[in-house]
Amino acid sequence: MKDKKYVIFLVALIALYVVSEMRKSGQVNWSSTYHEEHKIPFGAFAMHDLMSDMFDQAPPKSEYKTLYELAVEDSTMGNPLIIADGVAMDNNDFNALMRHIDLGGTALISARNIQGPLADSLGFIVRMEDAELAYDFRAIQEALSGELEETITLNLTDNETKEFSYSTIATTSYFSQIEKENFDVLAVNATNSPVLISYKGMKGSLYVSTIPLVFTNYFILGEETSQFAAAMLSLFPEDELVVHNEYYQLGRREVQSPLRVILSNPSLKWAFFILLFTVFIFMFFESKRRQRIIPLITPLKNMSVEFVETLGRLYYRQKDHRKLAVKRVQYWKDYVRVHFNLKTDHFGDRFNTDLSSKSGQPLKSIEALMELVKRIEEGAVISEDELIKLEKGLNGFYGIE
Amino acid sequence: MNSVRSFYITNRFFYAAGTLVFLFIIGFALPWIAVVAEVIFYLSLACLLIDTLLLFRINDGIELERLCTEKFSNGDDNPVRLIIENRYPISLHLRVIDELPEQLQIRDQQFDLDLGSGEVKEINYKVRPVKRGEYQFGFANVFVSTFLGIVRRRYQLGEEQTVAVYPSFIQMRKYELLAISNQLQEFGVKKIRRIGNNMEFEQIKNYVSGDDYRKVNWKATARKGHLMVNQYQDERSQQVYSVIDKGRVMQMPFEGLSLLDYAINSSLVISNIALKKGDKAGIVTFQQKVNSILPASSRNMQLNLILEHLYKQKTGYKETDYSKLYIALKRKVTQRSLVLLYTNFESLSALKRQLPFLRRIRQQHLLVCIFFQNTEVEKVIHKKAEDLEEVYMKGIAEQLAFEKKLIVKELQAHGIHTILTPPKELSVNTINKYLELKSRGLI
Repeated sequence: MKDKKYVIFLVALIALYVVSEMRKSGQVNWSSTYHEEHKIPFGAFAMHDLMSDMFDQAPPKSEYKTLYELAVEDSTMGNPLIIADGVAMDNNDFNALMRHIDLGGTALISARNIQGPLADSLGFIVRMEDAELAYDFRAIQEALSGELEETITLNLTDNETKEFSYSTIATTSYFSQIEKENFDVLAVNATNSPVLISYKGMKGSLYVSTIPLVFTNYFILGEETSQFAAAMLSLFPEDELVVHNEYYQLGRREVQSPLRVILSNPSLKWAFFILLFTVFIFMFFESKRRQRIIPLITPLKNMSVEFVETLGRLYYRQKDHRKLAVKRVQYWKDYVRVHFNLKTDHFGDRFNTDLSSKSGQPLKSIEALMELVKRIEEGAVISEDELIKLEKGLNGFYGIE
Repeated sequence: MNSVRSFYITNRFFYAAGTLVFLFIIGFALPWIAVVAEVIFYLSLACLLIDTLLLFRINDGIELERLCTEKFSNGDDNPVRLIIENRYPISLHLRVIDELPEQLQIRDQQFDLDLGSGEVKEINYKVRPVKRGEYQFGFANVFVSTFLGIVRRRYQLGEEQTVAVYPSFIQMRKYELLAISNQLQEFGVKKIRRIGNNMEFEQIKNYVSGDDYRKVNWKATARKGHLMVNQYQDERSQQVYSVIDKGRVMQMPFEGLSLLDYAINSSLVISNIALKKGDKAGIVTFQQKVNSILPASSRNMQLNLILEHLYKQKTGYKETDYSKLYIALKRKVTQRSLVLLYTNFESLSALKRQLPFLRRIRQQHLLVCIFFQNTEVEKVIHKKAEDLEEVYMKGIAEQLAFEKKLIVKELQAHGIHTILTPPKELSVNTINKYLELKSRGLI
């Protein structure tokens, strides 16, 4: 009956949790992932849809490795499209990228924050305002619902300029400083700061932008704003493979658990799963009851020894060795009277020999003991050593090993 | 559902699993071992299946019956028998866990045995209860495993059983025979000196060598033509009251059994012997007031009455009031009786408080004050002291033991008989005292 109560309680608890979780689900996930399969506002599902229309000869794909790895190990770099909140390449990646450009390739890097060799070597600084807009969902929602809009002016060819209006959230970053001789400015924001630049002086072309959000579902699905994204994507040559490199936003897309090694080997995998299963079985079966519950009944405890110890300690603290010695001699005398039928009111040589013959103890040890006893009887001061000596003597007499 | 509940797993299963894990780990380096391990894995799986089938194919494969007496004797070893039959067509390994009464607090009792097909075996064990009252046996859990020994099946057999634990009737029977045949001395239990002679005539019988020739009945000898002697017997129909102190001082346990239960066991023994000797036995219990008086009588029913009376005794371990005892004895027990007072004094001052009442009781009755040597303290005395502090403890222990002897002297000085006894030897010493007092004709 008691078990049932617990089960009902547990089920109710789980039900409550499920209900509360379901009520939560109305919230929108505003985190920016730029992932090809994400349909959340700042995912990139729509962009991939758009791209497969644009590049129908070589449908674009996603990769989850660094540029260096793609270049060296796989040697299929394609034309990289990097969309991320922040990009910080190391030297290997940067060199791989530059080699690719040098060989006539194309690359587009769009990030709200760019640091490392890329920014340093090429010579630009990205400035970001309202950093919290990257992660604070409430601020994002407020920014999007607000009226504030900003215009981005795109100028791809010399004479043709186009204007697109964006919510400020998309344009929080811009290039605060660029080396004029290295770059062409392709697009500027309302304050005339560049947001899209192209690197010149190499065979291929490298485009760097600070407005990654324009590639997200939210903005691509807008009628007007999608055109800007399309315009940027059309910077890639139509007949070459575009690779959306998601490594810089999401990292490697493989099992991240420390069990990776174990699970990758079939033999270890067997071992692991057998172990796991056995532990589970062990917990389940070993916890099963083998006999009924026996409630704990504390048995009566005999406290006499504790009483003796407490009392003993109390006397020990007083250190009245004589008093204790007298007690012990009293007990000993009683022992002698009862066991050997000897009078204990007068000690002498006669007594010693009698006691020796009756108890079977050597006369010498009896005499030694008697000397101590006499000292105690006479009222002499007893030292610690003498008390120990008495203990040893009595132990010998009583035959305590 | 039921078969899931009765499904258990042996250690062999875990050893096998462990071995497999080990083999597979080695298989990481030597791939051919991984193949072997895989084969072993499937083989063990098959074994598991076969084992389960063997065990669970049959229901009621094991029969068990628990046999024990309806009443248990307190403080003694009481035998319990389990009779088990294997009805499986194969021989089995059994592990039996009997659900013992919770008062025993035994959690680790189990029996392992092998049982051939159709074989019947018996498990005998003993339980030693230390408290009176109702004891509840549960089921007997039998865990069955086959020669494969991977799976275990639990049978819950036997039936729940209630046993009443009574004051020690085993001791009662044991001492009864010894006391009747005057064997207590020969048995080496204790040597006592019998003083005095009884003068109550019983019969004239033929002389056999060893009879006291001072008691030759010459007239009868002359009539019969061979030696005849008078035979005398102990006086009969004297009252023997076991007075049991149920107070605080009797709570102290020795070997799990409280002094009170020692006293109760012993009063049952002594009552039985008194009844057998033709005396009247009665019981008085008291603590802060007199709780119960069972008047002394020598009817046939009396022993059963005493047993039930003692079984029922409840204890609060309150402080005892001897004045109430004195008043009750004065009013209810009018005939001079042997009063065996079971109590305990730990110190001389404790005795001094009660001494006036004891002396008053003694004026009317033959009072035997029974109290206990503290064997726990005595253990301290017989141990070697390692340091000065322990020497002090030993000294104190000796003083406490010595004080008990002073209590005896003090009581004897007031004409009160005493028994100072270790709890275990209480019954023997009490019987001896009873026999001694009777033969001395002191009652």
